[in-house]
Amino acid sequence: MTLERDIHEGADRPARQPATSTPTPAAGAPMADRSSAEPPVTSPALHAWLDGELSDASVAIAERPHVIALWKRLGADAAQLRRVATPASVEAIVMARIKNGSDR
Amino acid sequence: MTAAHVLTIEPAEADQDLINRILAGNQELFSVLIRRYSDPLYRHALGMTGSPDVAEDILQASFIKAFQHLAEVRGRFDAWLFRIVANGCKDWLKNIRRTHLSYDEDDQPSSYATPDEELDRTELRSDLDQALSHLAPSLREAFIMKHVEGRSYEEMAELLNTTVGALKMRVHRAREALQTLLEEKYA
Repeated sequence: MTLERDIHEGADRPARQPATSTPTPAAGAPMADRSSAEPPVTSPALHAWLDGELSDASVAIAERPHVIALWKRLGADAAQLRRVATPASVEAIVMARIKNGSDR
Repeated sequence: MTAAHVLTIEPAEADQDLINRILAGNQELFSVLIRRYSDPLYRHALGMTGSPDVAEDILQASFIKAFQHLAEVRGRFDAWLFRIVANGCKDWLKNIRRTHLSYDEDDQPSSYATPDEELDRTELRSDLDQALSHLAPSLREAFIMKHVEGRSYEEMAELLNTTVGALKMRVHRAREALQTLLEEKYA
């Protein structure tokens, strides 16, 4: 079984702002696959803060308050997702199928 | 084999020891591996698809696939299993894109959640799912692993067989795109 895949899909190119003045992609391509010459909207300080390398006080000096507030909200939402547990039915269904021998 | 046998498993018993016992015929022990790894994998699938039902289906199919190919495990079982789930998520995303070539608002994957699922979400969660659906799968994957699963870049690099630098680039590009999409409404 081949489990490895090419996971790059052109995503490791240098960061550029998505080609948009409107937030919704119109041509069907994933937004970040497209490029433009516009400068990035996110600052190095923001990335450093989100990566845990910069304190709240330091990022507050370097970044706009509303941007910090947005990422704090997203962070709180992500923390909520981190508490989600697998439905018990997953183990039950998998083990039942294994036990029935229908999958070997 | 009875459930009592399962309970005799040491919490820290190495995955490979468990796998050897499963391959020797103790199939019930596979439930130990499911319990050991299902939560982070479920959260990964949930973050990638935005749908609890789809995430559950992908997880079930992945565990069954893992069981069928258990003899092929080389190296870390958790990394091998993660790649099965991650590929299942990417396949699902590709199918969604293939069947919905027009990317109008109404065609986003998050709109495929059932009404009940939608009711359970906060507006922000729904908007984040919508915004994530605009990202290339590899960017979405990197963002979910970093911000939802809380993994380090080093751990991500090990699981995805790539470099820390490449993953930082993907996460930065994902943040860039998400901020562009969400800033106007929430800032």
